[in-house]
Amino acid sequence: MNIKRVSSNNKISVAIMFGGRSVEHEISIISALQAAKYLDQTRYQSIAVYFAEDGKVYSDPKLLNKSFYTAATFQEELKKLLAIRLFANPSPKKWFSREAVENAIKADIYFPIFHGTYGEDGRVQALLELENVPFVGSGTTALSLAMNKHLCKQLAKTIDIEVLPSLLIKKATAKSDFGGIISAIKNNQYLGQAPYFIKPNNLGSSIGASRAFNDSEIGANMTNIFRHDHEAIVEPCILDLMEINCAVLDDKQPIASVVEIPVASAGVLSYEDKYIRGGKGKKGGEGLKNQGANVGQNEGMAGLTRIIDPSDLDQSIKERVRQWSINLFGLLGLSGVARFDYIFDLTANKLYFNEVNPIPGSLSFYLWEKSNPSLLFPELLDKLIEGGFRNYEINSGLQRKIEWRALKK
Amino acid sequence: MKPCTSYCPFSEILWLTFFILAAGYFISKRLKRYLRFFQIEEYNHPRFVKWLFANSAYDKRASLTSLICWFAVPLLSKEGIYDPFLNRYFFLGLGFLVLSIFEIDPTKSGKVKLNMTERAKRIYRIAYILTLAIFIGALLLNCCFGELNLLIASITGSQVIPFSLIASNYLLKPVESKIQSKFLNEAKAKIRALAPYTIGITGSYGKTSCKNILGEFVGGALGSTFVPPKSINTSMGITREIRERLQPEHKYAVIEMGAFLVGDIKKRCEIAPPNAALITIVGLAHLERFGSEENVFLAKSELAQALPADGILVCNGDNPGSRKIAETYPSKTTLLYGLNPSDKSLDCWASDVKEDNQSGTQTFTIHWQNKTYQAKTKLLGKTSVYNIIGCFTMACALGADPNYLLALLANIEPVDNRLKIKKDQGITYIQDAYNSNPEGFKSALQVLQTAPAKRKILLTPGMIELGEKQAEENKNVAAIASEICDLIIIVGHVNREALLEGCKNNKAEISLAENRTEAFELLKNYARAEDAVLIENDLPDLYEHKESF
Repeated sequence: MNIKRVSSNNKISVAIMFGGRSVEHEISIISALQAAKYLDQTRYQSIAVYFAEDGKVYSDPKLLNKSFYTAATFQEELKKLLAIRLFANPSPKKWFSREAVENAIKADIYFPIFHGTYGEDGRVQALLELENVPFVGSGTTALSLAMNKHLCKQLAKTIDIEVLPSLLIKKATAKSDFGGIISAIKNNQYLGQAPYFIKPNNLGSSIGASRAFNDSEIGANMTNIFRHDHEAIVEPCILDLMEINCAVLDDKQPIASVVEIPVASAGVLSYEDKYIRGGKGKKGGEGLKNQGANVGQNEGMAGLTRIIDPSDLDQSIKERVRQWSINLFGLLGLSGVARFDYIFDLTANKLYFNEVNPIPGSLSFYLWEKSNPSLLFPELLDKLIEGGFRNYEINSGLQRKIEWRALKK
Repeated sequence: MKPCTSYCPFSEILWLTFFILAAGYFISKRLKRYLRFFQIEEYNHPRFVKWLFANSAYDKRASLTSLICWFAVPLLSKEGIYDPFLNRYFFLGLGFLVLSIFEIDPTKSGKVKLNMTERAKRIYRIAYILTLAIFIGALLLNCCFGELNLLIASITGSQVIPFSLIASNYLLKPVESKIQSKFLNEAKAKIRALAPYTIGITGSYGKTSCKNILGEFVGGALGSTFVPPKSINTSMGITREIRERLQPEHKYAVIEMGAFLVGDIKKRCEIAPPNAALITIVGLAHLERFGSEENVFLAKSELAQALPADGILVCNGDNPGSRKIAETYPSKTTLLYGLNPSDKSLDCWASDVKEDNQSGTQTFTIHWQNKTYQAKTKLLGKTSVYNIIGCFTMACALGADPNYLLALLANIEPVDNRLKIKKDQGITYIQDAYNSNPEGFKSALQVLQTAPAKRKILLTPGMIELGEKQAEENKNVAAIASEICDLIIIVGHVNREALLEGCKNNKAEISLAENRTEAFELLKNYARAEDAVLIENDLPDLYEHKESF
């Protein structure tokens, strides 16, 4: 691969982009700092690119320290840093003018590590594609599809992946006739009776996803979701469920990791309770409060415990999870690493695809460590970066020549 | 008696410098303490002076210390012994330094801290210069009296501090005026340029609660809404919020308008012209500042009068004053709300109010436009029902879907210190600490009465700012409270007599506390699991404990 290096010391400069205009801003910082720590320092040069709450973008090595964000003086210190524009001014004024000092970064490859809106949904990637620079992970189209839960499920259905029935509610419709919406939900033959599970359609699941047992709760949950999103989806609520996740990596061909069963830290669940032996249900404990959610305040951190590659889980279920994930990864056109979340209904013994996280917390490194063959975090990052350059080559190879014919006629 | 240091002129300058620096340091700290109270009184001269003398807050410590230090020197020195430290400059300076240690930092301690705003800084700096000038002036002018000038300067300097704040504020008036004008004009221009649909809220009570509820209703059901936080309702407060936080995307604005005098609300409306108005209650709050009940009515009606021809006016039909405003100054759409279903003139009314103490909620039925709706809320008390239906009426008049509003209602949490329930170690605390009023107090007592607890306790300093009605109103609520409570803890002296008067004939046990700290100590020792405690009207530091000067 012919990489045009911009850095002088023969290392590949990687601009790690994180933060963003999202409710999962903090999680993004955690994931990005982890990646920066495990990036092979002998081959790569990290550049921190932080998308702050005030809308500005800052770049400084201090942004790679967790203590920078937790300090009481964080906001003041942040403002002292260099606010940058992502790409250089194409028409810089004369060298002796103030604008000659370019507050722009230049990197060999850009690595977006965002969670939620304005980063995991393709908007930052669109900017990178427009500027025609190499970047890690999925492109704009795949991401916009993946972040739309409803659309994702419809697409999954087309390749025979089982999903729970869902009803999409738009905020404008709800605001104009809420009574009608409640009737529509209750009379919907696919959704059945209460309880229902209501989630925002376009955000990550850590905000607003909750169960509703009656009209009052439907109202309260939905109006709460509508503060953050303009669409909500309603599904039947599975009370007795178990979550199963797996990650997929674009390694020229998509490969799947081992599966995991996340366990909510709030619950006093014993691991044994959550296993199934050969399909005959041992009660899997109460349904998790966030059906299919990342439970994600500390995704990948000590706050969330998980059982990786549970030995007692039926092998056929594991294989189905992994195969469906690979298929859906391909259909959506994803790249980089994505995590697929499933719900297993312990009463009905049925597996359902729930949602996909196209930029998963901590890049799901903990799943790859336990996979076979095992991939340690630095190696995972290597592959992700290689993937980024590979995609770039494929894209730059496309002909986009303008033929001046229609205008000249 | 000549100072021993007369042998060494250099050291004389040294001691003089030490003395001036020490005094200067003391002045800087003492100035801040007074500035805090000046700020609480909103830089109002008569009120600050009244506070000064009511609390004997003129300087005693520094003057006394200076006297002692001045007289101590000759008593301590022995003839002919050269002790460089045994001189009045040093002693007085040391006195000031030691005092400075005991001067608390008001930016860090106290219930209402000193906020060093730009204006506070300006006042402080000029006051500091003035005080120093007077101090050094006194030092020089009295040179002919020998060392007596040190004492005169020390005492003068210490006494003049609060007055130099007043003088400084006075001198700065033209500057402040100009700055405030500039801000005011910017805010006026901005809100007219962005033109959000503005709903003004006023009333003797319930303004902030309604603003919060209406903000949620309009923001959730209609469009992006600008809502100033907390209880900001003065001209300068509204001006600042508009300048700093009003954005182009705000389609609506819900602005609380407070008043102390006739003409206040008119001014607020000139800054933020209302398209709709919600008038909660015409009552007795701040009666002493208004002067009369008639004035309260006139003041609140200014909001209705400021509406355009096609405006929306929503008034509380159960409150005579509010209803009168609707009748006297109607707008294109005039709506009344209340709790009396047999009153045919109400456009929106609530019935079947039921409290569910286990879940800390209440439910009621709303009647609006020939339909009924079931409401459920975490906001407790009858006053909350009024606030909710008032806001509901306004939001529906603006086009919101009633069912959506009720769904939004379910998420609204009580604001801290306004009938908020907290459970701690088996004791239920009802915190209704914010600026009480008779209706609110009675409402809170109702909540206390129906709380599932073995014993009921009330902790309160009583209600303030009710002018000539204060004693009577406190007596009335005390009478009600003594029927319900097992123990009433009366905080401070302000309403002690009136409250005791009200409790005379009933079974409640009474405890008297000097201040808030003492009251909570008493409570801690008395209260046990399965008790319910109502903390009503927690007042700021002014009523807390007396600082000494």
